[in-house]
Amino acid sequence: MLTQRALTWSILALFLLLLPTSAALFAQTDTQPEPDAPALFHTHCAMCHGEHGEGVSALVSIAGPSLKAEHNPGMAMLAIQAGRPGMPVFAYVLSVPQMRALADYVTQQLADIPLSGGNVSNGGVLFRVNCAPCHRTAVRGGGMVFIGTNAPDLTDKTPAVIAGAIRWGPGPMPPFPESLLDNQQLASIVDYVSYVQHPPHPGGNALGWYGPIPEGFVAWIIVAALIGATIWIEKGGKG
Amino acid sequence: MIVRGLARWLDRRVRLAKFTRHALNHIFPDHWSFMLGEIALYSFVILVLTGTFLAMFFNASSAKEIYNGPYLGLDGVTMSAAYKSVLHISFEVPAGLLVRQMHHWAALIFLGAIVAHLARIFFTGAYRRPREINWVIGLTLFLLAITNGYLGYSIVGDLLSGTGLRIGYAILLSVPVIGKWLAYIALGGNIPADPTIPRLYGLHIFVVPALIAGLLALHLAIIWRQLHTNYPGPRRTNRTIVGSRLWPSYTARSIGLFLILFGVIAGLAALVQIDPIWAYGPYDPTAVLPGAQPDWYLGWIEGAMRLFPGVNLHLGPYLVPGLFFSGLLFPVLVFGGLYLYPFIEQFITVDEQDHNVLRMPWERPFATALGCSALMMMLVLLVAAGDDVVALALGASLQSIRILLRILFFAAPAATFLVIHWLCARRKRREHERARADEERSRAQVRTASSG
Ligand code: HEC
Ligand code: HEC
Repeated sequence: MLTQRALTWSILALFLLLLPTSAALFAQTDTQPEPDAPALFHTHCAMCHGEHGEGVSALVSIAGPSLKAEHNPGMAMLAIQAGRPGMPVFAYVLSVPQMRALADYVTQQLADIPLSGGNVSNGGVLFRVNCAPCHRTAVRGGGMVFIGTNAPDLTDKTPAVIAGAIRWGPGPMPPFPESLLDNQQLASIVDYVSYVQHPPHPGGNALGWYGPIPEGFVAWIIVAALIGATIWIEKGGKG
Repeated sequence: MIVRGLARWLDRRVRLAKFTRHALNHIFPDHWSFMLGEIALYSFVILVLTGTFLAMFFNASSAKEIYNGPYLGLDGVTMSAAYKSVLHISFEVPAGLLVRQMHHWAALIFLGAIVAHLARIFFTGAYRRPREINWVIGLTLFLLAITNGYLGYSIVGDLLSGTGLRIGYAILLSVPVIGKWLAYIALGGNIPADPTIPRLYGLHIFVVPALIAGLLALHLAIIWRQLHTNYPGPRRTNRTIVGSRLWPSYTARSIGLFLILFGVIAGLAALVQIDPIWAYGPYDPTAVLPGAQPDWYLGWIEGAMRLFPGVNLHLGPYLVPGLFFSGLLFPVLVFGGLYLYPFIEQFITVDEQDHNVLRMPWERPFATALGCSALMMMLVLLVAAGDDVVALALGASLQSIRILLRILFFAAPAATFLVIHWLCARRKRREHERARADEERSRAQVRTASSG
């Protein structure tokens, strides 16, 4: 009984004792010099995104997209804080100022692919010539079938990832330098892909965008159902 | 009152009454499998109806125009006038997309129903004398339907169908000696040539449908004249037919089927997208859409082209590409076999008789097993037409899937043949034993009756 009360008091005392110290700690962080963003990037991000944010190919086990077109600090902050598919959450590893500094570093220092002045339908024309051989209609991939690495569908890719991939060429995808696609053409392709991710899409269920194969499948299911209907009719419409 | 008056008026002039009375009493057998052809017939009716609507808005021209419409993904893009008008139908014409999708779905179902009907005819031996003539007409209808389906989606001028056209062009070119000439006649030269779309359109909406309608009329007239076959059963012999009259019983059923079909196709067109041409973009000779599939009824040819090894044959100065064997010779052999089948069977079995009673599939294990293995081969080829999608879905490499399918191309039909043959032969034996037992029993009864 007595020992327990003593324990409680001593814990309380310890806590009171620590309070000023921790306050000092916080105060100290406030006055700390700016976090060293390049160093942080080097230790935390470079293994996946490359030393200069140029990306690391998926053929390597740890891989991330090129960040060379990431102009949106909010987007970058969100990715660092909350993670992405294939990217860890950094909210518990880095402090908020550190993360903010990284986001600024990525968007202001690393990002050097401009992304403006695009035209959606021009992008479509360019996409069909340059990208469709592998990515088909962009909302479904799979033109190129290897073991392991197929051209993915691009439904969930952000503009930064798309632009980065065009210049950099992850894995088996060829890079498209400025001599092949100038910056405006690149922006157009990015706009087009973003557009077809959520296109006006009339006419009902798209059957996964897989084209004639599921269409034929559905047609045969319907033919089977119609045969069922003839059986029903010949039974006199009963049962 | 009015109807009766009109009927009498007509009868006095063209003497309809006798024929009509006769016609309305025409007997139709009561079995669902006789309605499969009817599904095809009514699909054709729906195709004509919806096609007429589409023709009012379709612009069959390869002229280059600039699109300015509600689909922003193509705003300002240069495209063929044909493709532009289909975008217009899809996005602006009231009910245009619905009717377009009905037309396309009806085409897929039309072909499906034809295949089901063909299979019924084959497996019940309805192609035997005196109906070989309708077998030949039916197969021609099937060929025309396939052709018109291909023409129909080719005239739209999107990237997917353009890819299909390019394959068709390559197949025509692959014909030794006259290939170039054939391709020039059919498609107007290297596609997309200016005459391509108008030429195909003329075939699609006039020549081929007129042939289909004419042959269909002949097909039905011959059925009418020869009367239907019957499944074996009581009172069904080579000279009698059991069933229902055309009026009112069969008419009601048939109209019911038409309404069901119309409803199903309209519902499908409203709920499920088919051929979203805006997503493929206009045909552009510099663009490629790899692994593009045709509509299902051409899938077997596409599959054959993918499975056939890429060998070329050098015949003196001529080069025969592998495409010729898989894309042209193979389909010709398949259809040649189908056309000749009744005659070959007649010749081998020395069968000179008329057959108005059908045979059950198990009664001739060889034919049934042969038919099933042919269907299996088609199925393997259909899968092969989508081998890239299969590889993607299974996470396997295209190469290994292709090798597997090449093995299956031979193994699956052979296995099917053996299994089906065994099953049919077993059933046949059992039926014979049962018939003999029945006979013996009745003979025993006769004996006890006469002795008692
Ligand atoms: C384990 C590998 C990995 C590490 C470490 C990593 N990332 Fe990522 N990162 C990824 C992957 C993978 C994606 C892309 C996910 C996708 O395609 O949407 C990504 C996406 C991003 C994006 C979003 C791009 C966009 O527009 O969608 C940003 C910004 C980013 N990372 C920044 C960073 C920063 C800064 C760091 C270091 C703090 C970091 N990443 C560490 C793998 C990693
Ligand atoms: C030769 C085929 C090929 C071509 C051409 C091609 N890609 Fe790719 N693409 C790929 C493959 C394969 C991948 C997957 C790479 C990986 O996982 O490392 C990919 C990945 C991508 C990604 C995802 C990158 C990521 O990190 O998530 C985007 C975005 C992309 N491609 C866009 C494009 C665009 C835009 C074009 C046209 C300018 C294009 N691709 C042309 C094959 C191709």
